[in-house]
Amino acid sequence: MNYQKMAVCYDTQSCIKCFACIVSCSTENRMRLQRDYNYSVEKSMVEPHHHLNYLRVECNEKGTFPNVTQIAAFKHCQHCENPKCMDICPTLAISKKDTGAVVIDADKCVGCQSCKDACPYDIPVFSKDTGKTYKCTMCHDRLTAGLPTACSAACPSVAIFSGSAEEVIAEAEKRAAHYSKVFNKKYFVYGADKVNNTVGTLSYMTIAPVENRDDYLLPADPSNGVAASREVAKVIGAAAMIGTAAAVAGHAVFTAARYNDKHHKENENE
Amino acid sequence: MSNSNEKIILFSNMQMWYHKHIIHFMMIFILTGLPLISHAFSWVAYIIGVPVSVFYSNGDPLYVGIQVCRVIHRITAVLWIVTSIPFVLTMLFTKWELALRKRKDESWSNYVKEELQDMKTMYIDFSYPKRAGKYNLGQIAAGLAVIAFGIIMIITGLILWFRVDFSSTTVSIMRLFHSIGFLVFVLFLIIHIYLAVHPVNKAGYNAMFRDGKDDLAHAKKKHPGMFVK
Repeated sequence: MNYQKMAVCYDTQSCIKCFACIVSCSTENRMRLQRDYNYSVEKSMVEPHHHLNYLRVECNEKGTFPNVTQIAAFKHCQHCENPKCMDICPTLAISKKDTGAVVIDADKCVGCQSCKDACPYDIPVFSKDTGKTYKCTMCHDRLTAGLPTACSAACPSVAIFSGSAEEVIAEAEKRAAHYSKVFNKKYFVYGADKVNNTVGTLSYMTIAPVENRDDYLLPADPSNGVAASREVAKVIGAAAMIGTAAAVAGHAVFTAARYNDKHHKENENE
Repeated sequence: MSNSNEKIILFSNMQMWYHKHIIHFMMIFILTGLPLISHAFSWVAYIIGVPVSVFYSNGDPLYVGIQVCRVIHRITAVLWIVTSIPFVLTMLFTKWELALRKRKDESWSNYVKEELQDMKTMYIDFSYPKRAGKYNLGQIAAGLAVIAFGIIMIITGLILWFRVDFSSTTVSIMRLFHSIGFLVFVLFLIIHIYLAVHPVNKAGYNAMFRDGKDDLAHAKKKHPGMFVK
């Protein structure tokens, strides 16, 4: 069955920092434990399961009193158009759904943490308890059932909203334009347009002032330099292997044409 | 045919024993490592995973194949390290002066030039070298590279094994060096295996896989540097 492309957006300006989204996300994941793994209600709620908190927040204050701005930077999977985690996963446990959600199939995850190495945003979290890696699924199960994501469903100020990609982008750009006009500084929708060639567009977008993009953990050129170097090394290595094999084959042909083993026949060990 | 039956030992029992094990270890390392480094080699994991998955409730062959590859890769690494201990201890007491034949009164440039000339004589002209010792310059350079990258592979491999105790950046850098080390090893193996089976080195090949010995007369022609006092 094919599904419509969906999206989620976090509006930093409307956020009242109640973090109901984080609680809702964690609760939803515990209900998934009840649904998928026969956990009792008590067990699913009492056990810590830190790896199931897909939304993490880094709170900071910017400026000096009385001109202080509170920054609630969310750290979560951005659901990239070109997910590097999916490309590197050796068991093909990570897939990109029609909805745009990039999802780890826990049953196929071997816990090698390759996705963690490849992610330009350093998002996946490895659990020592389960030996597997976890990250936001963009509530793929809820979206395909016609429900909003858990984080957006809980948000009292509609600072996180989800829906079809077209609707979400239209609303996000409308809000960004409005904030730019009202606050007299440039706001943008991070991820609505292609961020860079590494990640492409994002399905989990963020509305933020351009001047605070680094504070909100929204890099202009997200990349994992070491992982990219590894890919370059693979290409160079493959070329070197082909070159070496060709040189060896050439020498083998040269040997076949020119080699005279007369002197070696002196040796009875040969 | 040589007129003399006199033999010289080229490889000790320890060297032959270690070399045979290294062949097995390298084959297993490469086979179990390839599906982890690229999707192009997932078929290796499938070949391993399909039969083994019969015994697992989670029957996805790729998942099972990758898990088996990871486990075998690590067990092989431990065996390699354990096997290397007696070999390294033995090699520490080997007479290395038989390998590096640079004279004290000659310059490095002259030494390298003459060794390269010897390699050309061996592999282009198919004749006997003038001064090469037990190992020519190419073998010495390759041997040092293998030792260096072997150490790198062990260190990076152990960090990747126990990665939960290291930072993401450290692990990522270790993966990069582990990949580079693998590529270097593959390049080395292509050249090493080709030259090992090349007719010029037939005596050395036979010595390594038979009794470790070569005819003295032949060795004097092939490795004149070994007999220079």
